[in-house]
Amino acid sequence: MWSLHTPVGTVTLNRAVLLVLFVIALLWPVIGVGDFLLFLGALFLAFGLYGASFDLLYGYTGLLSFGHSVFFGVGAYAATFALMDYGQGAFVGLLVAFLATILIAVGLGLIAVRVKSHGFVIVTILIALIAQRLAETYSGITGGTDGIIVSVPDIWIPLLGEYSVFDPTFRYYFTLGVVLVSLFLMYRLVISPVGLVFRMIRENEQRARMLGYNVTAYKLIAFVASGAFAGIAGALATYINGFINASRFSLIVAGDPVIYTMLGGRSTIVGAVIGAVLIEGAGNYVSQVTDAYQLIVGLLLLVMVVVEPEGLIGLWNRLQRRVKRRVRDSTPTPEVTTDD
Amino acid sequence: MTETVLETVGLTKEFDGFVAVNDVDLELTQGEFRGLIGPNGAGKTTVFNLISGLAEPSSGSVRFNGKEITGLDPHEITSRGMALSFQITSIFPELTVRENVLGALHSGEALSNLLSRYGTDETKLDRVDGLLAQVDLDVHVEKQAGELSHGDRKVLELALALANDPDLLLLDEPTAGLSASETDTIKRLLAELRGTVTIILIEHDVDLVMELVERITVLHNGQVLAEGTPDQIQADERVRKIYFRRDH
Repeated sequence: MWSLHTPVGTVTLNRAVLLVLFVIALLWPVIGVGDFLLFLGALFLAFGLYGASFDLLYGYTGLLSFGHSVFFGVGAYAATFALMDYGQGAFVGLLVAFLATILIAVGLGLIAVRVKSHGFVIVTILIALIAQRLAETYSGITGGTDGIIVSVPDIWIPLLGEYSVFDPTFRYYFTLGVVLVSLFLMYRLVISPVGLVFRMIRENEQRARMLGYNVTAYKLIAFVASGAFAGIAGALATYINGFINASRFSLIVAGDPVIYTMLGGRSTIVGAVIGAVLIEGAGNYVSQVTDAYQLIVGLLLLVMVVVEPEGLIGLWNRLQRRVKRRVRDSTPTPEVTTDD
Repeated sequence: MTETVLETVGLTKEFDGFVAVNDVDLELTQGEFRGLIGPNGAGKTTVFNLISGLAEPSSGSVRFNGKEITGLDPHEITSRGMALSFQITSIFPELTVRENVLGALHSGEALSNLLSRYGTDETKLDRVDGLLAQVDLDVHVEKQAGELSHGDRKVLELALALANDPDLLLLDEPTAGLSASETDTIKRLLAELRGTVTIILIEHDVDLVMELVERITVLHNGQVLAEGTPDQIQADERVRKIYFRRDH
């Protein structure tokens, strides 16, 4: 009863909701929200990608990293250097961000994934602290806390021509495109046999090992893939802001994707994106009303984590199950078919 | 001559001066069903850990399918055709029953199928569902493994161990904590496996062991006290002294 059979396939309620969200994202510039909301929309999408990349590591593989800002920062700086020092275009910048983060993630991952459970968390925190300190110390390169203004050259899109990132509508669609492709790639990864191994490691590392899986290698794959997409997100955020500084590496920035994922719902990929848009959006609006916005958002989040640890998507699933059960109970014939 | 599947020579494990396993020699031929019994603390589980690589022997060696495996990582050993079912049930609670077995089946080739979706390979699905039907879990395939009863979890644990058609199966108390009827289910499954795969069974229920296995090794204080057919073991005075005293 929750599905609609159409010639192009079955539309379940969950898919319908996703479709609606997708259409809203697609039409965001068309419905006349204005330049500022277009700017915010693009920025929140980049943060959403950042959150989703964290979900790949935490939600699927069970590795809680409080150092994800390192990848966000490395991606951002790698793209910045490619653009500013080597005169490269925005796409090359993204590629450089992707590759540089992979390189860094392999190096850091070889240390971090060998450390078990709580040790892993601590190692990631230390990595973020060291990265921030380094970025502040070498301010000649990074611009320190004052930062660097990043000017992104016009972007040439095949068949469509050249666009400026200062065009809010283009900037938004450019970001949306990169984010959607990245989310799709992550989704393909988590539904592949490798994604199943990630979840097995999250559930029972020892068991996975005793079934013949090289758990350390798979953790490293998750760590690197997750880092690489965080790097892309960092580069995108820099393009949108036109600015970068050393605080990209800070623990506050490292905590953001954790919060997005907790609010939206772990091991869903899309949950972290929803979480990012809601948190950042709420932060933006509430801050116009009161100075205590961080306190308010923080309290709401606390309530959320206590009431529903699986986040908004968990809440949504629970609601669906309850309605389904009620419908089933009130139906006299036992021949009710339900779709999960 | 039948082939030797597993051979341990002088297997020894010391923890801080305490010798948990002392100079254990085991030899299992293909298709053999061996019982490993002994009082609590005799070193049975430690022997399993040493064979499967979960612990490294202080001295001695393990050969599996004719190759030296001493000191290898557990995943390297298990991917060579050894499977282990744990004393404390060890499954993937938040995955469905089918995903549990599918995951067990993928090992070794998950990476090469990076671009595919798991659970879409028909031959694999058939194998998974066939195995689940064989162990009577086919009604629960879509259920989360964590929602299964204790008995069904034990059965799933066994299915995980069987998924990759192992050459050697190490079973650590597969009936621990089960009701009589659940124990019967496991017993029936083990009887069906007899002869098709080499098995070492650790079990506290001595009657069950006597009924199922061909040979028994008795461990006592980390050492092999006796080895023989169930009848020989039951008749052995030393074994009776330490093991059957209370019952006989």
